[in-house]
Parts: sequence; C-alpha cells; structure tokens
Amino acid sequence: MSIRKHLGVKAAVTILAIGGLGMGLIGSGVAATFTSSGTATANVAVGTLSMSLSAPGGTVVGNAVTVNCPTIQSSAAGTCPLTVSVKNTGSMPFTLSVASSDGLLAPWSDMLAVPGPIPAPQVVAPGATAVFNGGIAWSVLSNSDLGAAKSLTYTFSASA
Amino acid sequence: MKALRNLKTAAVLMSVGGLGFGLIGTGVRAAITAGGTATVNQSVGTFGCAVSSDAPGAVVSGNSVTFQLPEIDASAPGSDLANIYVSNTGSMPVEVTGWTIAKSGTITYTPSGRMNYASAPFVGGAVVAPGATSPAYKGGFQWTAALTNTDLGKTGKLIYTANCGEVPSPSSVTGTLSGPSAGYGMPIGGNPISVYGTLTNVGVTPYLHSFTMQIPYTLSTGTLTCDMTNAYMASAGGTGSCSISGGVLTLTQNFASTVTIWTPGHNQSINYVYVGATAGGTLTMGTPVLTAVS
Repeated sequence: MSIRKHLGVKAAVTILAIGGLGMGLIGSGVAATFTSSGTATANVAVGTLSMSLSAPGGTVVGNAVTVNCPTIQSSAAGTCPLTVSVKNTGSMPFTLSVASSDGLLAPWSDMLAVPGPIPAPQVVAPGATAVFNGGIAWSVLSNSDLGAAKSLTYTFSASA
Repeated sequence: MKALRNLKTAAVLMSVGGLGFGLIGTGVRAAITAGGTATVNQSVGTFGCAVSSDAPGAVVSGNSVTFQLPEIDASAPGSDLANIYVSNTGSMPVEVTGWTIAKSGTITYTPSGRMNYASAPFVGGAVVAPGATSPAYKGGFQWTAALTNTDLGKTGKLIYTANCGEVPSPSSVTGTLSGPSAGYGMPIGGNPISVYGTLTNVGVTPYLHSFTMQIPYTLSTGTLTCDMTNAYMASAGGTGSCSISGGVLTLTQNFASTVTIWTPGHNQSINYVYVGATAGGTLTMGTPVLTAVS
C-alpha cells in the first residue's frame, strides 16, 4: 500500500511532470500567439541649392541678368554701374564666389576690381542676399574711344 | 551555421554600403553647385561733322565741299558768297566752335590788296543736334574797295574748315541764387517776383548761347507758377521757357544771337525767372543746377 502509495506518488509526479510539460507547451503556444512588433523609419531629404540674380535696370533671363547702359554721348568721365543682388533662394547656406571677365584697359575699368580686389568668397544664408557693386567706369575719353563697345560679365558660383 | 554565415555577410555588406555612402556624401558636397551671370554692356557714341553747300555745282567729298563761285565781272565793291552748312554726322551733339580759313590764289588780299573774305559768321545756334544741319554760314569773297586793273584775271581760293567740338558740359557754367532768400513770404494772389542770381561762364567758347537751369523749391501752401516773358535781354531777341514739376523749377534761357558778351570768365547777376504763387505761402529755393549749356 505504501508502495502503491509510493507508486501513486511517482505517478502523481509523472502526471505532474507531464502536466508541467503540458503547461510548458501550452505556455509556448501562448507566446507564439501574443506578438508585438515595432518599426523604425529614417527619412532623409536633400535640400535645395539655388540663387536668383537681380540688378536695377537689368533684364533677367534664367540665372542671367543683363544691364545695357545708355550710349555714352560725351567724353567726360563716367560710370555704368551694375549692382548685382544675389539671393540664396535655396534651403542651405552656400559659399558664393564671383569672377569677372574684366579685360578692360584704360581708360576703362571694372568697378568691382578697381580700386579694391574682387570680393572674397562669402557665405550666404538661405533667404539672404549678397550685393556686389560693380560695373564699368571710364576716365575722360578720346577720339579713339568713339564707337567703342565694352562688355563686362560677372560669374557667380555657389557651392555647399 | 549557414544562417550565421549569412549574417556575417550581411554585416560586411552593410559596412561597405556605409563606406560607400560616406564616399557618396563627400561627392555630393562637391557636386551641389549653382551659378549665375551678370553682364553690363556699354557703348560709346560717334562724333563727327561734315560741310555742305547749296552753291551751284558744289561737290561734296568726304568731309569737304568744293564749289566754284561766279566770276567777278565788275569792279564795284561787292561780294561773292555762298552758303555753307555744317551737318552732324555722329550720335552726339556738336558745337561749331569756329572756322579755320586758308586763302590762296593769285589775287592780292587785304590789307595790301583789296580782296577780303567772309569769316562765316555765327548765325543762330552753334550747337547742331545729331542728324541735323546748322543754319547757313556765309563763305566767300568780299571787297569793300573797288577792284582795279591789277586784279583783272586773278584767281582766289578759300578753304573753310569747320571746327566741331563737343558740347561743353554744364559744369562749364555756374549759377548761384541771390533771391528770394530762404523762407520768402510769397505775396498773395500770385504776383510775380524775380528769382535772380549770378551766372558765370567758366569755359564755354566762343561765348555762352543758352543755358538750362533747375532750381528745387518748397512752397508751404499753394502752387508755384513761373513766367519767362521777361527773359534775359528779351528786347534784343532773347527767349525763354519754364516749367514746374515735382518741386523743381526748370528754366531755359536762349540769348539773342547778337549777345556776345558771355565769353569765358564773364559773370553778372541776371534775372533767371519770375515766379508767383496761387496762395500766400512761404517759398524756399534751393541751389540752382545747370543741366545744359551751349
């Protein structure tokens, strides 16, 4: 009886063990049913880099602005100013540099380069405007200048 | 084991990919650029003059004109003249500053002889607008004493060279204001008052013919009016005009052709213009600015 009892204990243990395993199995089944998940998304967009040019009295076509000054009708010294406003119309700051075609010989001169040097590259914030005061200047003209045509181009380069 | 190998491979690929992105990132930094150009164009006008004549048989060649005057068939004092014109062939105004006259031939000129020549005197305005032609200048021979037998069969030749110059800049004439002074109380009813000052011809040659002046002003109430009926030496043929716009009084005086006192250096106080007002306001006039002279 005692043994039976013992057997009974063993059986009970076994049953319990099986039951426990069964419980464990059941537990595993519960874990497979209850799930959860999450996602992490990284979005990236590239900003824009662009500029717009304007000048008083100028005609703008795309990124080019042209000023045609009145024909000189006097030998007196004078100027044909070209004040260029370069606006950062993009979303990122850029470094703006300017180069002049120059090549003007006396009595003609580049107002952006004379008397000072061409302005150094400068950082222009989005929405900000850089102004360059250039143009063509001339001292007293002579007969050899009659009928002459002069042109000066500034090239603006922005990099970010 | 296979799964682990695959994981390692994936990790290596990701690493390379990251390095590659890094390189791409560096490349993007150099590649994002923008640009624009600004161009200014400037040209110089042309300047030139030419002469012409309506004399019979006149031949124009380049800037010269040649013509044959009628033969002198009487000894009585007289003249043998023709019209000479100066045309502006350029794009900017020119001023005929004078003539250079060269004489030649077998005839004897004054003072040792009797033959003289016209100096192509100035007639009317000396400034010729682009494309325009001047009034006629008289050129040719003149003799006030009767010719004699010694003049028979002689010939004469005159070459008139027009000297064309640039129209002087306004800075060659200055003007100051003497009256009315600042804060002048304008009479009620628009009675004209004299606006006068000192005009100086600094360097217009041979003499000043006309000038245009602008005088800024403020008037506390009412409207300013102007009157050039009594232009400088109007009785001698002087004329003038004036206008008022935007707080600026603009006036032009044209001296009579007989007025030759305005040589370089000459200055005197003259009446510029008369002004009136529609109400009794306070008038303050600014510094006169010469905008054109000839």
